Amino acid sequence: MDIVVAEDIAKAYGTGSARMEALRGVSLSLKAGETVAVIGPSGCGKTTLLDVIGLVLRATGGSLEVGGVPTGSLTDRAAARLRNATFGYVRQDFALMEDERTSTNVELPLLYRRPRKRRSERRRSVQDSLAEYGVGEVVDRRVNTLSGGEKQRVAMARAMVNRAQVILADEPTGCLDSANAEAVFQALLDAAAKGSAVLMATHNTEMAARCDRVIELRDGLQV
Amino acid sequence: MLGEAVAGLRAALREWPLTFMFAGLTLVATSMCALLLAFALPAVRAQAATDRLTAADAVYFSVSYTEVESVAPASAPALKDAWLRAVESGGGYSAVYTNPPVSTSHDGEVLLAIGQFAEAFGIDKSVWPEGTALVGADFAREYGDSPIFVDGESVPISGVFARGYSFRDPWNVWGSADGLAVVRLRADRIVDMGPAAFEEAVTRTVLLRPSQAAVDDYVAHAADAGLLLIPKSLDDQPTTLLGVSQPVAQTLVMSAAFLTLALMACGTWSAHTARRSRRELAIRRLHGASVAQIAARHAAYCGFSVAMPFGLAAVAASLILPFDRATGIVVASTITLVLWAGLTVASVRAGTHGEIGPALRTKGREWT
Ligand SMILES: Nc1ncnc2c1ncn2[C@@H]1O[C@H](COP(=O)(O)OP(=O)(O)OP(=O)(O)O)[C@@H](O)[C@H]1O
Ligand SMILES: [Mg+2]
Repeated sequence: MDIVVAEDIAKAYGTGSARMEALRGVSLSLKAGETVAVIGPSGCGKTTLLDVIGLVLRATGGSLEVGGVPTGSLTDRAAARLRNATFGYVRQDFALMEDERTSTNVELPLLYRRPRKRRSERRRSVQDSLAEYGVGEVVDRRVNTLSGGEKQRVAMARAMVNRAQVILADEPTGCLDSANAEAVFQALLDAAAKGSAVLMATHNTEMAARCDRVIELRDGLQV
Repeated sequence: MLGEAVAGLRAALREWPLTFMFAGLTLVATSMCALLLAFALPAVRAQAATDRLTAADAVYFSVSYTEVESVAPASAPALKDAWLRAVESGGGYSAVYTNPPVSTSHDGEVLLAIGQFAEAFGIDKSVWPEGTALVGADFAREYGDSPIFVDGESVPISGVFARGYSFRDPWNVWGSADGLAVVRLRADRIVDMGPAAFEEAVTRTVLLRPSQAAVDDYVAHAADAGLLLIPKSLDDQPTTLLGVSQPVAQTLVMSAAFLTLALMACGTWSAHTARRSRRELAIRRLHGASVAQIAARHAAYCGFSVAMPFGLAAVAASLILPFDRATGIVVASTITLVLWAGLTVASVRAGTHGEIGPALRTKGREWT
């Protein structure tokens, strides 16, 4: 069964003369275990597409089902639950709380998960996940002391800590040297092998080619 | 939810210099307003009485003791007659507050009311027969059961004034009725109660709608007895619209402005904190925090740094203000709750309005 079904998604930012159509009719579906790459030039709408799918932005047209639930009229609370239960996010700018410790950041998906695990279990999950990406030693460091590459791997660890059904990865290898980039990409493939769906925006055509499917965007249109 | 509230408290504590500054400001401003109101409210309440006295062209007197060897006024029979005419047939009234021939087993204050006192203050005489007392709310609570003796005679209590009931006293010594027992007496009894009481009654006489001749006559008789009375009208006293004396009104307006500023500063700060933490709140919402959970965080933050000190001060204030206590506490708590809810809603809106996506792209420091 498809975890995500998006049909004819449109997204416009702003109103009036400032109106900017970032997506103009994009359709896609995601199955468990599938890897899908979103490619296209800068500004074509990759991040916007991932955000609409991840219930971070509301589409201005089309329909979106997540886990069989139509998302058109979700309450704030229901949307929050669905985000937590379905998605792991690796964002282009990492979306880490800079003044907080790494552990606090990686714990977030577990903190808002219902039912919530005990503190000691959460702590163990956080450490395991960080160790998996080779950043186990930064668990108690403040994020603003980490390097760009470390932040990227911390963001990966957070996206995976909840065993998300869908991983939305926006340029997950952008800040990494080729060896680390390959390791992170391999981790996404591993997650897919374990049953997660992976939707990845990337400029790396070689990695995109290794995904099951490629969606190419140009000016908000699927090509 | 509880975890979020604790995080909000931690945030308030982490910013303790600011939190305590705002808490202090709110506390000081609220207390100042309350104290001033406690002074001013009786005067405000007395406005109706003032209007009545002003409409009656009330004339009162100030005394000038210039004569070194004054004749004891009590020993001047002509003055007695003139005074009795003034307060009985003449439509005036008088009061004895400082030197009443009163004995009680406590030190509650007793005012003797003479002449057209009830008429002047619009009190129904049928509930206040001569020789009985109306008492203020505090007096009733503290000394209600102890007898009052005036000139050796026991005075029954015939009623209780509503809390905050106030007279208009040109000399500003017995404005609020709360702590008073007011005994209604026939004028001729005062004459026999000794020189001190009589002299006070003569000087605290207020003439209602007097002719110029009547005023002159009264002043002349007092002067013969060695008492130089200077007639004054209530219009001579500086009053504002509310009937509060000007300095009190000015201070009141200033501290109300101060309180408003303090609350605005608190509100602005809460909203600023929320806006500053918009990105962090977006990150939390991204990972499953609902707006309700975020509201719990803000509620704890605003509650601790603003609503709690304000509420404490407001409840304390309601205890000193001349209102019914229970009502005061209810009103104070309601205002506090409204303030708290308003601040929380405002800062939640500032922190979470719009979609998560754009908020994630904003710059901002973290909350906790
Ligand atoms: N909040 C916003 N308001 C207005 N326009 C926006 C907003 N966010 C994005 N856009 C515009 O929408 C278009 C698509 O942006 P998006 O971030 O999705 O591009 P992208 O494909 O991810 O680009 P990149 O590869 O550089 O990350 C861009 O032209 C961008 O300027
Ligand atoms: Mg992008």
